[in-house]
Amino acid sequence: VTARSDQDLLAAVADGDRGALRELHDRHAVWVSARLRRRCADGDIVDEAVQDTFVAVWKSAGRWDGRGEPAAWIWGIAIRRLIGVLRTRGRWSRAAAAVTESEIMVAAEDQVLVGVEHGDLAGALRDLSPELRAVVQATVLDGLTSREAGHLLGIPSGTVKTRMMRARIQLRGALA
Amino acid sequence: MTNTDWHAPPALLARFAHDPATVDDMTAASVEAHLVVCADCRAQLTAAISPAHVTASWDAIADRIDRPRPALLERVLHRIGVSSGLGRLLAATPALQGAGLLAICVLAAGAAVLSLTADAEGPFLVLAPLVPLAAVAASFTPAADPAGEAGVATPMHGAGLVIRRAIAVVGVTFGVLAAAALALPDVGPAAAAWVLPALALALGALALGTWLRVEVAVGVLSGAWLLAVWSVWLAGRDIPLADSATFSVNGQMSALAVAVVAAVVAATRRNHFATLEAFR
Repeated sequence: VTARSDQDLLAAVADGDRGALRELHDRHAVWVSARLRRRCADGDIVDEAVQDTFVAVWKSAGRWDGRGEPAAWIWGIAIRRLIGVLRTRGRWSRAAAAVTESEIMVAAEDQVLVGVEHGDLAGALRDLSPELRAVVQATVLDGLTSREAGHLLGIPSGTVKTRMMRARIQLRGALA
Repeated sequence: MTNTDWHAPPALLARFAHDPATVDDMTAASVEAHLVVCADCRAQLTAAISPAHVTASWDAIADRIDRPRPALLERVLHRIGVSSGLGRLLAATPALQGAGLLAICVLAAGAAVLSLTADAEGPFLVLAPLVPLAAVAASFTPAADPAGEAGVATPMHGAGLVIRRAIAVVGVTFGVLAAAALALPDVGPAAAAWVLPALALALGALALGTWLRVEVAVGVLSGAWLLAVWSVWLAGRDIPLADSATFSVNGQMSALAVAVVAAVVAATRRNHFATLEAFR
């Protein structure tokens, strides 16, 4: 029996196939959990967010448009569920602390890098202050809106926008 | 876009799975971006974790998707931040379940219709305070409580549960009555004269409920309220019911005083709720 693709599994979940959800979970829960743990140090909160994620996949698989990478779609749900759990538990400060020490991105296709073709990207990102890097990571790598990033980092969305602008200027300068 | 030849080193994936915080920022970012597009590396990372963890995670999810959908009221309570346990206890309050809620609405609407036909606030002002009272009686009659026997075994059984449910019942009833009051012929401050008497009666039922069974307490208070309104009205001679002393400033102040006294009594005697004795 050849293994079903993630796309097939998601379509089956949309039709109410519980076994397909289990298979998706077994393929994706571990890496999603590890990635969330880099954004939130509290294991209980991450576990709850992972559970919420697959419950949400179960309920809304029908809304997946059938294009793109299912893993990216699942991650998009997961990071938002993490924000949701953090909001209901009211533990902004903890998440903010965890994210400030957190990482940045090297992925392509993002607004930060528009017009940049050469230069030491990794080095330029490393030179950003932790606050600016956290914002770049949340908005670019995690694909969050300024408002969602603000919730994750525990800062107002206006601050997210100004930090993003400063990061963009600094990166352009470093990579020019 | 994806370079399929490159894969993350297995040791790095194992470290990322077990202790992601120890992976430095730049490496983690690169691994994360790769994981989204590489099923092989995701499988490798998953294999580094004990299958028991994955099974435990799935069991918790299966438990949630198999769970029956909570009642509407319970979901609303959860949405506004009430914990799920308390939400279920409140939603199981008899007066707040379908039939009870319907009865509250019918009683409130009935009182408003009576007032409309009489073209005066009087009937509504007299009857409205009895609605929360009836709801309180329905909530604390042990036979009416679907969670009654089970409730005895819960840690929150007792005064805490009685008081929380009373607040929920009275809150909902007041909301329904306030909506009904908007239908009164003359919506103004006078149309709100039922609020303090209703509060006094509901708190009075709780206070009396520390000596009597709550149905008895409610019966006594209903009788006393009707008698008081009637005698005050007779004494006042030839004025509309809504203008009698009960609904004047003095009457409202008396109701407030009764409410405060009753609240103090109920709070100090909270370990004597007679409705609970039935279970002991």
